[in-house]
Parts: sequence; C-alpha cells; structure tokens
Amino acid sequence: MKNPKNISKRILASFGIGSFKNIKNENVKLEEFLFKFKRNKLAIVGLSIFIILIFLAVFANWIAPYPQDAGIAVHFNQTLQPPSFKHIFGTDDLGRDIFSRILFGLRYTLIAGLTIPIIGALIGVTLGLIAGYFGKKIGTVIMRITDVFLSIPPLVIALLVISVLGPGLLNIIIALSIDWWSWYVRMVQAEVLVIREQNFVEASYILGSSKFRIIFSHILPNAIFPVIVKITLDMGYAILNVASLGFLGLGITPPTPELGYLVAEGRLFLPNDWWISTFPGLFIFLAILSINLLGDGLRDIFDVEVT
Amino acid sequence: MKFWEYVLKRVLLFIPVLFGTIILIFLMSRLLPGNPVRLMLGPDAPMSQIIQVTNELGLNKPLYIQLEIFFINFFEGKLGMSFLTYRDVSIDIAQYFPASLEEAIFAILIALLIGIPLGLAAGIKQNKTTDNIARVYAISGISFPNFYIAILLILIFGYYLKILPISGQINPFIPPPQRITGMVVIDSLITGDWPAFVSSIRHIILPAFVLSISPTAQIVRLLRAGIIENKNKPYYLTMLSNGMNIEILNRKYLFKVSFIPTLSILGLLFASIISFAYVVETVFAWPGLGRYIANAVLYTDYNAIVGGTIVIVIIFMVVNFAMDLIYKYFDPRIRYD
Repeated sequence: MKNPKNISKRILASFGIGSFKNIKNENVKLEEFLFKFKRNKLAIVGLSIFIILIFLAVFANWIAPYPQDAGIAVHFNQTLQPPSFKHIFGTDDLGRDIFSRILFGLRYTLIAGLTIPIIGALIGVTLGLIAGYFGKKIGTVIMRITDVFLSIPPLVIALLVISVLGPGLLNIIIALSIDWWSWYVRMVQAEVLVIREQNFVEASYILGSSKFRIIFSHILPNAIFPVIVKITLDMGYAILNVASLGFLGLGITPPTPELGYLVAEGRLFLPNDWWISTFPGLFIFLAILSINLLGDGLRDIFDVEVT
Repeated sequence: MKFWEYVLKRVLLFIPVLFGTIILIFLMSRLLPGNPVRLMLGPDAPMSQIIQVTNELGLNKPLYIQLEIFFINFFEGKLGMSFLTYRDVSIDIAQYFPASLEEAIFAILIALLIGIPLGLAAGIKQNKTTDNIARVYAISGISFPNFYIAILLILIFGYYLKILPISGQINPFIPPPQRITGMVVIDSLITGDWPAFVSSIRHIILPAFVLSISPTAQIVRLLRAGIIENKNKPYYLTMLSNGMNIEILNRKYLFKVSFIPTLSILGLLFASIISFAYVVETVFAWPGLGRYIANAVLYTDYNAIVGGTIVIVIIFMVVNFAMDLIYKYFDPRIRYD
C-alpha cells in the first residue's frame, strides 16, 4: 500500500536528502538545505564555476573552434601564435589551438576526477558497511587489509600500477582507485559502529527486518553524509593527482590533451610563449577550486567532520 | 608502565602490517596485467630478447620463489639492479634519499612557520580581514596544482626578478661540501662552508616553499577551526572575564588545545609531501627520491620502481607510526588498553 505521492520523497530519503538527522540530531528538511546552501556564497560560486566547466567539457565538440586540434591535426603554418581573435588562447608548437585542446582535456580530467572518488566510495562504503555491521572476524580482516592500504601514500602506488599497466585513462583510474577506497572503509566503519547502537536500528531489528533492510534502509542513509562530503572534497584531490601524473607524462599517450600534460608541453616555451602553459594550468586550478568550494560549502551545511 | 606496554603492542602489530605491505607491493608489481619486459624493451623487440631479459630478471620463476629471492636480497640490502644506472637500486636510493629528506624537513618547517601564526590570527580575529585572507589562502593553497605554482614562481623569481636560482641543489660552480649526512644545507653548515651554505639555501627555498603550500593551507584551516571551537568554551570565557592577560591566555591555554587535531594530521601532511615531492623535484631538477622514481616509471626501470616504492612506503609507515605514538603520548585523553 505505497502512496505514490511519497515515493519520490522516499527515494530522496534513501539518499539522505529529505528527512535526516545531522550531527546535532535535528531534522533537516530539503527546503532548509537549499536555504542554507543559498546563503553560503562561496559554495554558490563553486557550484557555478563547476557547472560551467562541465558544460564546456560535455559540449566540447560543439564549442571548440578547432576540434580536430585535440586529436592528430597539426598545422605547421601557425605555430606558436599568441592569443588573438582567431585563437583565443593562442597556438602551441604544432600549431594546434590551445582553447580546443583545453576543452577536450577538460573532459579527460573531469572524467577521471569524478569517477575515481565514486569508484573508491562504492568499494569503500560497501566494505565499510560489511566490516562495521558484521564485526568480529570479517570486520577485523577487512580492517587489517585496509590498514595495509592506508599506510601507503596514494601516489606512490599509483606510480607503481601505472608503470605496470601502461598509459591510458582507464589505467589511471584503476591506479588511483586502488588506494582511494581504504579511506572510505575506515570512515564508514566508524559511522556504522555508532549508528548500529541507536534505538531505531534496534527497533527495526525487533520488528523483524532482514539484515539487508536494516543496512540499506536505516544505517546507510545515516552514514552517507560524511561520505558525500568526502566524495566532493576528494574529487578536487583526484583531479590534482591526475593532472600531476599527466604533467610528468605518466599515463598519457600523446596527443591526448590532458591538462597537466598541456602544462608540461608548454613548459619548454616559457617565458616567451607563455600562453601554452598558463591557460591549461588556470583551468586545472579552476576545476579544483570550484570543487573544493562546493565541498567546503556542503561540509559547512551538513556540519560534518571529515578527515 | 602502561604506555610502554601500549608501545610494545603497537610495535608487534606494526611488523606484520609492514611485511604485508611489502608483500602486497611485490605482488602488485608481479601480478598486474601488462608485461614490464615488453614495456622496457619496446614493441619491436624480438622474442628471444624478451625471453632472455625475462630470465635475467627472474620473472619466469614461480611466484613464491621470486618472493623468497626478493626477501633474501632485501635483507642483504640489495634491491635489484637498475636498468638505467647499472647500479644496485639501494645505492641509488641511498644517494637520493637525503635530498628528499632535506626538502621535506624544510617544507614542514616552512608550513609550520607560516601556518601556525596565520591559523592563530585567523582564529582569534574571526571574520575580520586577517581571517578572510587566511581562509582564501587556505582554499587556494589546496586548489593550486603544485607544478603550476612551481612554474609561476620560477618565472617570477628566477626569470623576471632574477633573485633565486632555477634548478639543482647547489650552484654547479661551487664545490659541494663534504658529504656527512648527504643533506647539502646541513653539511655545509657543519663544515662551515659558507658559499656552499648560501647557495644551497638559495636553491632550497623555492622547492620547499612549493611543497609547503598544501600543508600550510591544511594547518591554517585546522588550527583556525580548533581555535574557534575552543574560544567559546566556558573555561576560556571564565578566565577571560576574570581579567587574565589575553596574550598569556591565548598562548598558554588556547593554542595547545587547538593544536592537538593539527598534530594528529601531521602524518597525513607528511604523506602529501612525500606524494607530491616527485612533481616539485622534476620541475626544479632537485636530485631527490621522487624524481628518481618518476624517472624510473617513465623509462620503465622495473627494479627501481619496485625498490623505490618499497623504500618510500617503509619510510612513510615508520614515520606515521612514530607520529602516532607521539600523539598518543601527549594526548591526555587516551587510555592505554
């Protein structure tokens, strides 16, 4: 006897939006969330910049004035031209339009930055839920393995994995995800341990809910907040990592216009032909900045402590 | 005695984790798809050469024998031969490690020197100008890609202003100091080699500063949050209203309490410094471990990659472990059970 009017609210509630309890145990509703969000100017700025960047990346094919420049095209008759009306950000040493390359590179960077934390979160949250809820043997095993992965600085393992797998976007995603999920496991496991003791979970158990239902309908929506905030914060960090790897040429096959790689390409021509390095780097900065502002705003709103 | 029991327990737990990590790294390097020999030799290499190099590297033996050989070599201090330098990887690492250590120490020092006052000022004068500047700095600090700012700083200081040198650890025309610790700044200080000292300081400022930006931002942020949280606590307000000198109050009580969460992330800061050191070292041509490993990855120098990764991971785990113990020693709220 499900009321169809409430289904959308229940779906939203399962994601934690709608009626949820934050750290002060108040009931915060959707309207209040939006209100708080609008008041946080920095978060709005972050969100706007981020939406613009996504728009640019998704519609790169149509916006870019010279889309073929992001691929194999070279034009040796217009190399190293400064910014002009014809080429907004100038051309590089092979005559390719920098603006077009940045747009396509933005795609690459944003995809990597967005998927890595999400994959990490998917694996990490699942493992964390299992470890936290079922405890004892399984929990200890999972946590020990996680400890091993936690004690490894992230980029070092990524370097190792890339060196064996070779270059490519998929390999970068795999490489960076391997270390990423361990942080989520620890966070979710701690949350689950706390939530598990609460009255409503016990009540649900007494009423005869299956373990599956308890985990997914009760524990998960309450544990998800720090995870969501952490995903947004991690996206910025993931983009930074991908750009750093690209800067060194690791994991990139030319002519892929990854933003970090573009900065590296332009480095040889500093300081005379400054536009080749400056603009890609600026876009990297904007991407990371907007995501960080967004994540900070979310963290302020949800009043959550995140490592 | 309780604390020492705790230390012992942690050490006993730490060793298997250390071993597990080494085994994990080793397994990853051997089990991931992709043939490193192929990557090393290039796509045109004839089959016979591939087989020969595979046998040389010992990659055709069963996994547990490879693991055994690896551990035997490891305890003898050999990590395999580098493809690029034809020396044992451990010798390479021993040469490059002090440079990275030097850079990391300076980076953390700078981060603390800048971050603590800024964080304090931001927290105490909340929402005033200083606070806003500090917050902007904190957010930009973690948003700026470090290679980008490295390039910008090189442009400004190295090219336009011509104040600071662009690359290397010391001016190539100045004879380096006697190698005691391997860290040029400290060695020149110890041996009293003044020109070398000045030159090495000039060379280390930019790389250490670039590396310190991200940790500084995090320190400022955490310290500020800690101070704001503690500023409104009853004990603080009571002491303030009883007429206590605000300077003493801030320095003696507020700072120490607010600093504790920052201490707890020192391990993470160190991790980020190690992780991003390779970018900064490449841009500044700093002869450090990060650059060595990044180069090894670029040229698929197999033993160097694995050896270097293991060394960095071990260092990181040991430092983290030590910091964990130090933190637990100073936090009065911990019970050792």
